[in-house]
Formats: sequence, C-alpha cells, structure tokens
Amino acid sequence: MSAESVVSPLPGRRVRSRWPAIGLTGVLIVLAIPLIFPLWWMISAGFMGAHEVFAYPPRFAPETWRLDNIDEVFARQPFGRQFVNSVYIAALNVGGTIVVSSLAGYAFARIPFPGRTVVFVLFLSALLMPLEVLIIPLYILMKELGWLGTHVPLIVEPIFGAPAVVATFVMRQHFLSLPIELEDAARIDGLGRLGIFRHIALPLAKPALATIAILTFLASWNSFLEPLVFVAGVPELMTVPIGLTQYVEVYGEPIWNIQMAASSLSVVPILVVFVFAQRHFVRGISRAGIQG
Amino acid sequence: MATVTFDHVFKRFGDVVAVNDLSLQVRDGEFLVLVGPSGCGKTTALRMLAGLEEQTSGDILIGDRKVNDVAPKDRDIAMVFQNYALYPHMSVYDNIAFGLKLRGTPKAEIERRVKDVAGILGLGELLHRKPKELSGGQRQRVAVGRAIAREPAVFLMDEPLSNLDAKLRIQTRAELGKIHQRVGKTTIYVTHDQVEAMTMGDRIAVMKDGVLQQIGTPQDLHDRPVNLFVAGFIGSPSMNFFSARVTGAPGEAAGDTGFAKVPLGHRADPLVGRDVVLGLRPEDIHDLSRQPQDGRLPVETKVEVVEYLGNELQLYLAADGQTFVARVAADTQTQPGAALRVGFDLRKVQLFDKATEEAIR
Repeated sequence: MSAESVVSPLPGRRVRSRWPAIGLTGVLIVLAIPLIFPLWWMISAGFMGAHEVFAYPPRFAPETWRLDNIDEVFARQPFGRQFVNSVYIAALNVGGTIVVSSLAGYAFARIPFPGRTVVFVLFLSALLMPLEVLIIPLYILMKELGWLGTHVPLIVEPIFGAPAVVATFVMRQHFLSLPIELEDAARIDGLGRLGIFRHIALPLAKPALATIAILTFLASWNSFLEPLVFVAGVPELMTVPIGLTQYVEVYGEPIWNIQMAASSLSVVPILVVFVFAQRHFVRGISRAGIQG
Repeated sequence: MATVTFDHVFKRFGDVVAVNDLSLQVRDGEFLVLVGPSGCGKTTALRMLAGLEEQTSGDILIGDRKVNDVAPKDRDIAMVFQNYALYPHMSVYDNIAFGLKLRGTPKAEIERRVKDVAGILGLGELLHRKPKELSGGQRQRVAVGRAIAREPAVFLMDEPLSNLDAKLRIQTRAELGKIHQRVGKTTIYVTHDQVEAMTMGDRIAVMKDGVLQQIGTPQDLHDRPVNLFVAGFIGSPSMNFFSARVTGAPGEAAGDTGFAKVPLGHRADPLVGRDVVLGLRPEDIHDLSRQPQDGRLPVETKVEVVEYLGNELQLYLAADGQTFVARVAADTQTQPGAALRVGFDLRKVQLFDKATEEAIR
C-alpha cells in the first residue's frame, strides 16, 4: 500500500466542508460588534484628550494614548479608597449571601416543616417589590439603627434582601436535585443534619455557589441607589458607581475622558471574576434552569 | 448476636398503611430476602430497620436491643442503596473510609480495612478514582465495600442489583452470595425480582400490600405456597391456575375445570360442592408422547404459541377455552395449531380456596 492511499479519504466518504464554520464565525463576529464597540469606546475615550472625545469625524482610537488621565482619576477624588470600599463591601456581600442562601436554600429543599411552601412563596414574593419602593422605609430603618453614613447598610441589606432571595432560590433548586439516598447514606455513616449540609450537600453545590458568588458580586459592584442614599456626600465612603458620577466640571457637565478612564478601571474586577468563574457560572445557570 | 426482630410493626403515611402488622425474626448470620411487587412495603420495612423512617407503632430489635429510638448511625448497620449513593465528590477510598472516619477509627485501622475490602472486591486499582469515573458494576462494588468496611452487625441491601445489566446482575448475584458466606453477617436484602430472591435467600419473606404473606426457604415457597399470591409470584413462568368445582363422592372427589376432572384425593372430601382454584406449575405439565401416563392426568390441548428458549420450549396451550403454559423438552416436535396430549402431574396439583385464596392442604 502506498503512502498516498493511506492518507487519502476513503472512496465515497464525504469530506466535511469548512465553509459553514467560517460563515458561522463571520455572523458571530458581526453580532458581537454592538456588544464590544461601547466597551472599546469607553477604553479608548479614557485615553483621549477632553476635546478628542467629541472630534468630528469621530476617532475610534486616541491620537496619543494619554496615561495622565489615569493619574487624574486618582487626583480629582479618593478613587482608590472608593475602589477598596466597593471591593470589600462586595466581598462581604458574597460571603454573607453564600452563608445565608445556602442554609436557607437547604432548609427549603430538605427540611420538612409546616407551611414550608407558603413561606417559600412569601419569600419569593419579595422579588416583586422594586428597590425604589423600599428605599424610603429602608432609609428610615437605617436611620433608626444609626447606620446612616456607614457601610453597614450596604453590607447587611443585600445579604437579607432581594439579591439573597434569588440566591436562595438557586440554592434550593440545586439541593432539590441532590438524591435523597446520599443523605440517607450519610445519616447511616454517622452525620447529623448540619454535618450532611457541611460535608455532603455544600461540597456538591460548588457550581451553584459559584453562580451566586458572581451574581452577588455583580449586584453589589453595580449597586447605585443604596450607596447614593446611605453614604451620600462623603467621598471617602462612596463606592465606585457613585464615585464615577463625581467626575464633573464646575457646571456639572461630565469630564468625559476622565470618567471613561475611571469606568475602564471599574470593570477590571468584574473581568477578573468572570475569567476565573466563567465555567462554574454557565454550569450553575444551566443547572438551575433545568431543575426549575 | 445479631438477630433482627420486627414485632407487630406498622407504618402509615397518612391514610396509606405501608407496612401492616409486620412480625418476623431474622436469625443471626442469615441471608433473608424481602420480596414483593412495587409498593408492597418491603423497602419501607428496610428503611425502618435502618432508622431512616420511624415506625408508627411496634418494636424493632437488633439483637436484644430495641432500636425504636436509636439513630441510624448507632444501630450497627450498613446499607447498600439501589442507586449506590456514593458521595460524588469523594474518591473511592474516601467513600469507603468516610463512615470509619466519622466514628473516630484510627487512621492505620481505616487504611487496613479499606485495603482489605478493596482486596475482597477487586477495587485496588480504583481507590483514587471518583465515582463518576467508574462503571455501574464498579460503583456497585464500591457501595458494597463501603458497607463491609464498617463491619456492621447487620447488612441491609435495597435492590442493589437493579441498576445493572442482565449479565452483570447474574454475576454480581453470585459474588454477593460469596461475600455473605465469607463475612457471615446477618443480611436483609430487598428485591422485587423473585429469581434473585430464590437464588440468594436462605429464607424469603414475601410481602404484598404491606402484609407479610409467607416466610420460608425457597423450596417451601415454591412447593408449599400458603396462598394464591405467593403461588403466582414465586416461579417463572408463573403457576397456572384453573377455576374448578369439587364434585364426586368422598374419596373420589375431583376438581372439574370444564376440560378435565382432576382427582384431588381425600384432602378435597370436605370441599365437595365448593369452588376452588387448582394450581399447577408449567414444569409439572408433561408431553405424554415422551412420558408414561402413570400419575398423570391426560388432557387434550391445542398449541397456540411455541417459545424456543434453547434448553426447553415454553408452550402456550389451550383446552376448552382456558390457556396455560407448559415447559417441555427443547426437541419436542410441535408447532402452533397442532394438537398435543399432555399429562398433569397429579402429585403436584395445589389446591386453593377460591373465596379466601388460602392454600388447602
């Protein structure tokens, strides 16, 4: 047998064309433009001069990449401090939400108690109330508690508020999908209720936990109304989204290039979280969907 | 000593009585099979023994100790589940060792026991794998290994073979039998498969609708079923049943099935004039062209279906509108539509009261 006959396709066998793949990739690239362009615009405008942003015809890249803009972001207000505020508040939100939602989700999924379904429906109904409706009562509550002008409301409210309801729902759906025999086996092996939660249910919930970690982080990072209401006016207490609105000149107009530079910096943590947890995120979402 | 005793145990789920006055005793070292159709209460009984369900009333004893209020982990039992219930996030080693760790067994002792069990079950190469990397048969062995490593007083098995394919099931059935002989511990095995029950059990307890029907050796159940249900449930293909009325003078009483008068001997004397059910297993109906007639009642039949099984034929026969099954030699010359003269083995005819469905001896 010659070398050629070994590598040549068998007679009658169809060679798969590469054109469909190329076509599909082309379509996806075109569809991605509306999503990627604003991001690119934000980044490039962040390195432009103040007038370059409004140049006509528009420029899609700065003439010279002005790194001074970054310095100005930090010079105009305590952006570094605000960044740290956002990071630690988001981290505490993630940690707190994981603890509360996994315990509550487990209880709703696995511990039979009278009125469980009613309580769960009532619990879910919290999602129907928009934050805008609740913000004034919350403000009064926080004032009574003496927490205004501190970060405590920004940490406590999301852990027990609407973001935790979604997280609890995701965890409940996940725990419902765990075979009951696993828990039976663990009981015979010698675990109690909390032991089963800690050693069996929780380690198996990693994808769901990653999902709620990302969702909670995003919600906290992007949260605008609560910090605006609870810590308004004190630059050192502000979080990034509020800080971004402070890059204005004396007439209240945004200083676009500096604001874009600050905005570009503000998406870095989100990109980092996505890169590390993307796999879990997709799996968690799809699981929650199937079980729903 | 690890006997297991159910003493008038009831289990109700709302209005449903899942287990109804169950009383039975499993001997030390015995392999007892609980068998019955789906929903007969056999798994509930096992789960109550494990402590995973609480009985509504009655007592459960392991050895001399009443375990009604004892937590599952303190009952000195181990259980193999139908879907194996291996912990997906733990290696095979950790799955087997987990229960021992929780009991505070010294590390060296855990390692020795896991290695021993792995040796018995051929799991040595798999100890570092996760359950998802194992085949169904391997998972099943790990589940059994986890139970053995605990060295419990009583093994509980809940349909452990039903997720395996037919060939592996037969192979594993034999392996479980060997393991039981080697370990020698009291074992209670739940299945809906009467072949598993017959081949594995020292004794078999047949349940139906939450009620224990009969407990006995496989031969007891096969040869002397106490009622129509047990007679029909045990044996494959099932026993043939014929409705009959007892006629004739005392000493010559016979069951009139419509197509034959089946002599019943003295046991039927008090039954003259009553409706009964006659039972005869397919292997007790013979081809009279190959067997002598003595002790057999000749019946003219028509062959409706012939099933060739390699080592035998299953014939679906009809006589006077009634159909029944016979198992005959594989080289029997017949075909659908042909006439066949068969003999009912009169020594093997079982007699049941039509009203109560109880056996009449």
